[in-house]
Amino acid sequence: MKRENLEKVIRRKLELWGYNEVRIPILYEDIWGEKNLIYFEKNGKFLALRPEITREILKSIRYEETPKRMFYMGPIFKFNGGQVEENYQIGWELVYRPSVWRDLEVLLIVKEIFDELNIEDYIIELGNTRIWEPIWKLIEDKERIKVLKGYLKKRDYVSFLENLEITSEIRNEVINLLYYDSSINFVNPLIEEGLKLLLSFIENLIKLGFKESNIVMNPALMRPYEYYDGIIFEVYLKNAKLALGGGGSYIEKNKYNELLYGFGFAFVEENLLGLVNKNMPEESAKYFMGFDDDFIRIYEDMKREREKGIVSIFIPNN
Amino acid sequence: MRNFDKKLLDEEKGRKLRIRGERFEVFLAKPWDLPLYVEERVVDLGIIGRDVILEQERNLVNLLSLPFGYCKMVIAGYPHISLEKNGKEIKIATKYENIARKFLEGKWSKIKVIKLNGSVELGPILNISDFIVDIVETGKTLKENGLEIKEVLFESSACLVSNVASFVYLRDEILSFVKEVRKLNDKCN
Repeated sequence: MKRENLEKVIRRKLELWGYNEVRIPILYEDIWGEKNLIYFEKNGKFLALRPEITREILKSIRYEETPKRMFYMGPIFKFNGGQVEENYQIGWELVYRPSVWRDLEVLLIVKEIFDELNIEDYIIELGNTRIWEPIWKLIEDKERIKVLKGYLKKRDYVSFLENLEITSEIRNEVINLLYYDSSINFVNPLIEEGLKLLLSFIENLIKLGFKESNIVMNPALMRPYEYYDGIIFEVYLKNAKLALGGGGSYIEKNKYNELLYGFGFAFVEENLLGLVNKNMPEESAKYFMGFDDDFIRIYEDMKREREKGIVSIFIPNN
Repeated sequence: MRNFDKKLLDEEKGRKLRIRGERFEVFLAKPWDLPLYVEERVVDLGIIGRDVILEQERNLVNLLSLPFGYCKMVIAGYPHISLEKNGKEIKIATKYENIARKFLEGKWSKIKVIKLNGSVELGPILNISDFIVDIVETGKTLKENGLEIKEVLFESSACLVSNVASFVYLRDEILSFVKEVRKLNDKCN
């Protein structure tokens, strides 16, 4: 399956859900110090090739009371092992105040796209950042919290537990979150509440057509950016070595200093392309063969086929 | 692993690198290659020293610390050379370049990390470096070479790690195994 066809499937699905494409510049002016960023200087200005798209879009849009639906597709760049690495990022955002339907909608689009691509054995790993709030409150020290969140993001549970200085009762609760299974009961009511919210979200997904085997609940899931707040997720495909992409609920300040609430998903197209090749239905096409002189006569027939939505291709009979 | 799959005991003969049990298929690999096998999902789980995990920083789930393979990652040097700042560039000889940079960045105004592949103690002896960063079990080798531990950077032991996607696809199986290992750990303690 060609890259263009994959994008066509995704674009069409998003348009049917009322999402509009947004485009932003490839060059950024105001990001500094990020690891693996590609910088250069022009007329005294330091410019960087965009390492990702989501955050820059969120910075530039205004917050409104009505839902705002948008998607983007474009190249992103990073420096990897001394080489410039170019990938293609695809994502969609639903900017609106926190609501269950908002979060469900974004994930349903993932499901519908996978359905169309005949991908059945994907897994959506779900977490909720709020589950950890009571733990962070107890720790208080912001620097320490940042370090601990870093270990969770890296899924380094050993370093996380080693650096967790906390009473043994809460420590047991944390261990139960790391190695969570549904039979465990939690003592802390706030942790229990966060878990219930996540469970009820999963129940809603199943009511809406997700198979139980498509969903894994992991309360220890943490996403790379600080702006996530609420339900978060990562998407996995059966034969992949790592996550296809991820997203979730966020609160971010835009450049107008307004708080922006939303839910989104982003992934690198190359990670999906390699895995869907076998699954993608090829678009049917009609081929019209003829000599140079036949083209004018055949054109009308081809036009009629195209009007029916059928791909029509002229093959010169040389 | 024999505690969790008795058949592994019968199969473990000679110098086989691949041992098939009932529950697990075990591959014996070099410690420095193992994180790659797990990251690439050649295997679902691995048992690797924490020193190698922190040095390679691969995309893995570091699930559990295991009660063997204990050692300490230390900075060591001659007794008469202190860790105090002296405005000069400090040279560190080590096999663990990333760990040395990560843990010692900011300790002095400037550091130079010199990669050695073994016998790191030779760094200060041959005047290649001021200090070394290395794993130490008993400290005997350091002592015999006239060096002493200046600071412990972290404690290391073997760890149970999982591939990130395997942890999602085989979550129930992996967590049930983690539970069994934790139970055995508690018994041993």
